Amino acid sequence: MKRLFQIVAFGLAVSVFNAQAAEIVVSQKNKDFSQKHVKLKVGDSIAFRNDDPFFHNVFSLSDATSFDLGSYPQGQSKTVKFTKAGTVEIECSIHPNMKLVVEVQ
Amino acid sequence: MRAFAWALTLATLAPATVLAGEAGTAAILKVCKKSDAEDCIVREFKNTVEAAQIRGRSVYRAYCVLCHGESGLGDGRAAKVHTPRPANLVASQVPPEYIEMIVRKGGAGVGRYAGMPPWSDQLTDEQISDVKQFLMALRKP
Repeated sequence: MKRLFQIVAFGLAVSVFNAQAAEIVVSQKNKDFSQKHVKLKVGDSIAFRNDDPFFHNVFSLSDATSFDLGSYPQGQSKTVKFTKAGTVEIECSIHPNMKLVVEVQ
Repeated sequence: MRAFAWALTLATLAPATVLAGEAGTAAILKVCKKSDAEDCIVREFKNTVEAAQIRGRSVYRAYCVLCHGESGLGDGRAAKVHTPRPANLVASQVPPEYIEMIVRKGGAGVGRYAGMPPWSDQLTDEQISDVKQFLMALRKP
């Protein structure tokens, strides 16, 4: 009986772990995103961390997810949760060459 | 004065960019051809307000148009994600010194909406001065 309880508890723990949303960190460094293409699941998040010694901005105008995190300095991080499936193009308004594509499945 | 307006070919600039002063206009007309008037003004008359406005328009199109829009009405493609909406620069009445300050420090730096980034790290002093001249020219008289 004890063994059965342990198996059930383990199974529940695994399923809860799998259901948890993931959070990844994307750095802004040298006027670029550290990744150009990211695949996520609905509910996952990205923390955008500014690792440059000047301000960055993060925004998206995509239909699936549109937002503007504002401008923030080195060392700060802001997080976006992706709640809808689709392709999200992310940019920095201060540095127009910075691009990141997020595919939310 | 109107006869000389062609020399600028600044179709997207406000009327205020038309050369101020007959002497300045005459000097430019002696040097610059209609076909490359803007390049000529920036090259040969780089210290004039007109040259600054031409350079400032390039800066504006590279960095500001995203939020403030092509005409400066605050209707750029990113305007929809900002509340409050980006400033209408055509209707703005703030003095040029304030424009320079908010461009340098951003909205948060002057106690306003933080959606306006600080540009002092990205733009040179000349670019900030140029875009200020362009923004003053955008205003309706």
